[in-house]
Amino acid sequence: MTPNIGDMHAEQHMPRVFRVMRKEPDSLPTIGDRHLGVRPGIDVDVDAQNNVQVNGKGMSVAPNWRDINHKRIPGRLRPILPGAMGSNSKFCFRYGDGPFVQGALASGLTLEPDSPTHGNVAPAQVVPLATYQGDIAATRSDWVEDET
Amino acid sequence: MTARPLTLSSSYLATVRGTHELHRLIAEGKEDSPEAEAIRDASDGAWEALSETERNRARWVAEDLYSLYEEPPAKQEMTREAQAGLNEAYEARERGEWDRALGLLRTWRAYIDPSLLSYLRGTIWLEAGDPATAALFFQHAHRLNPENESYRAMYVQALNLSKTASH
Repeated sequence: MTPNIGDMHAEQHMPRVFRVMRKEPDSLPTIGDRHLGVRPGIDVDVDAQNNVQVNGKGMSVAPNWRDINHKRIPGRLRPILPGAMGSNSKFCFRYGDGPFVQGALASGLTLEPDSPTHGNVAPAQVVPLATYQGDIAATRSDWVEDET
Repeated sequence: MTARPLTLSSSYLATVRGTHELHRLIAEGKEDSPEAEAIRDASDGAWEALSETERNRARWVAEDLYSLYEEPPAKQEMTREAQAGLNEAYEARERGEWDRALGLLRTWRAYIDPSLLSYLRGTIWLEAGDPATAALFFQHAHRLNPENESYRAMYVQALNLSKTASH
């Protein structure tokens, strides 16, 4: 069932998640399959009708940017996280302020942790790929750059 | 206490192989290339399988490998404290405390010649069980100081061992 977030601000009490993405001139993340989005067939499974399956897969996130694969963390953050090898054209973004636990993340989306340091932003129900991508894109204004 | 090699999981070794490849691309100014992104994509699964100890070790290897193509820190005059720290690094290596030995070298790296630093890092990784990483450091030591026969010999040995290990 699609979570109803009602009148709540989208990111309040929702799980806090981090993701490395490019940003646009408005300082918000770029919408795209390698940024704020998913790669169909890789990050999510899509059936013959182009519906996204509900199986725990989704857009990869972590409870802290330091937990993300060091090859994705921008190299400029080496003074904070030694061994960072990511592109300096990308940035660490944060969404939400709640615990990293399974549950609603935004309208149509849930967080599905698969370990204490990784999870996926998954569709809450079987939906067309475009709907799922739209639900992810709708969170754009609630992501903030956070490399602290 | 006898120095023993680390137990390096297949996920750890896959992570470090990707690190070697990505460093090669970054050194060539290709950090944003499709090849670099492909390495990052391919490394996510192995990264998720690592323990926290392995993650820290993988990050520090990646950090140390920047020394292969970045300017070294300004050379410092040897002090009693630095000498003691470097002695500690040697002793830690003899005891097989690989991570500690590498950490001490990192702390006191400005007090030793960059070729010696790479040689010492190579000896640690060779004994710790990662000849491919050792070969990169020995190659660097040899490039900085081609007159030193030990550096060349160790490079060749580590290279041969890494080829054997990968088959």
